[in-house]
Amino acid sequence: MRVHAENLGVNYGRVWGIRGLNFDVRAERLAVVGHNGSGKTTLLSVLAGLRKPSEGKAEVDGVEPYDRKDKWIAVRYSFEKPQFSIPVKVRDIVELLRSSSHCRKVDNLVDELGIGSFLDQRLDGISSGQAQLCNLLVALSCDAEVTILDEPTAHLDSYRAGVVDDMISRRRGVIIATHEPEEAEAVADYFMILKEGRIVWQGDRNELFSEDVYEVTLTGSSLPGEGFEIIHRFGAVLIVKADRERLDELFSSGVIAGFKRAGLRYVYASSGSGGEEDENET
Amino acid sequence: MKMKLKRLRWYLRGLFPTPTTEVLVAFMWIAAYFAVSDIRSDGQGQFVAIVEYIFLPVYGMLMAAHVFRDSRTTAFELSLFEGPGGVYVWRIIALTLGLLPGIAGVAVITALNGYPGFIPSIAVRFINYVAIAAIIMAVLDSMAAVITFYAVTSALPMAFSVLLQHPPQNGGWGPLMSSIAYFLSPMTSYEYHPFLCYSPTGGLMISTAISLTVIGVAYLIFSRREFAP
Repeated sequence: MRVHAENLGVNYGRVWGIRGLNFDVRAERLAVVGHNGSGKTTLLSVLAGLRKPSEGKAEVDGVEPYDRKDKWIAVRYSFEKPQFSIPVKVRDIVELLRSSSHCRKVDNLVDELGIGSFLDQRLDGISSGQAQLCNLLVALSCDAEVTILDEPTAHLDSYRAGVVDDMISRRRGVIIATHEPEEAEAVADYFMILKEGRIVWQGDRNELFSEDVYEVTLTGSSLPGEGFEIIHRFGAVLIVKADRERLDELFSSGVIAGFKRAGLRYVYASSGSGGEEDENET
Repeated sequence: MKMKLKRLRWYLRGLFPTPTTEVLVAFMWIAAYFAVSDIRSDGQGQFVAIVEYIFLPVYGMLMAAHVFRDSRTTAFELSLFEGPGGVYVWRIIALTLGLLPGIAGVAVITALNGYPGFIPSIAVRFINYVAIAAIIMAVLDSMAAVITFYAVTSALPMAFSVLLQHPPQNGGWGPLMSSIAYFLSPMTSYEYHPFLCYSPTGGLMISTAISLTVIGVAYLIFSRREFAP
């Protein structure tokens, strides 16, 4: 999948959702990461063909998605905040999808997502997590050149979130937006961080994990001793620059509960995209 | 065929929410019956006022509200139906089926009470309710659409009833104003046609032609509109 943008911008009146985006990405799964209001959904709605840019252009596999005649079949999507005030049953969605020649994975996904347990409930009476699963069913059960998923695991319990992330990580041609660094790292092979509608960092997995920087989970409230440099703190998780041997010592002595190479959290912190919200979340 | 039935069922679900609709339809038919019965004493204007300004707009609003959905839901349906054509057509079909029993019932009541002359204007009212709902659905969402529909189908015909009972300075309304009057308030225009430049039959034909054009234009607008989340 190739995703390309030139001076891409979308405005809502006088406010720009995204502006001046330039990128040329070749990846199977692209993760767009950023905090609330960073422009993720706006970017995804352009890449899904639902919105035309106010300036510049975007291309997915060489085609501007909003101008595609076959966009409803070639691009499948699921957007966040699934609240459907329509009096249909979940079963109606499943049957409609089954009747499409493009959607051959419906029954498998109904089982894998656990939708079978609420098939006869009305869409306007199910929980937000169940509605999210219905949303994902529509996006994932049909053949598509590109699948766009906005916060795919929001509203889901950790078990279902794991199932969904596992599914996504096995697909090709996926663009997801998330504010969870772990989710992005679990599924994507290219990453883009947005802040206030602009790209503050982008790169692949090699670039993401290239430095000797680690995420360290504390057992206590602080990290005593020497031999490391604390870059940022997200609650009980510290981003530190240190030798692996030194971290092994700290782990053996019980000062830290574990550590791993810092990926998006470090980039978040060093690009200034984190902030209070992230610190509170962790 | 099976696929079409499933798509139709998607939009028929919840179209007739009981008991709200049943009560409203029964109430509308009873009101139409008494209004028709009173034509001999109160004149036809009373019947037109009750039916065109009050009951048909409320009934139409209830039915149209079913297809006036928010952008997020429409974006979801566009993916499910694989494009705007399916969403638009099945919404219009569902709306037509929803409007039919209530409006047909009123037409039958007037005919059975000896006033079959109302049937053409009521039939045209049915077609242009579909057109008005279609164009509103193409540009507005949810509550804004419902309020606009009621204003267009109730307040505007009421305004025309005042306008059409008084001749303009040059003695009559021109083709444009007459066409608009027959489109927005066919029953009122049919009743108060002397100052309009078209005969009742000609006016209703023009109204039907405008309605069909609006349904087509509404599709073009709907298919080009951005339903972004």
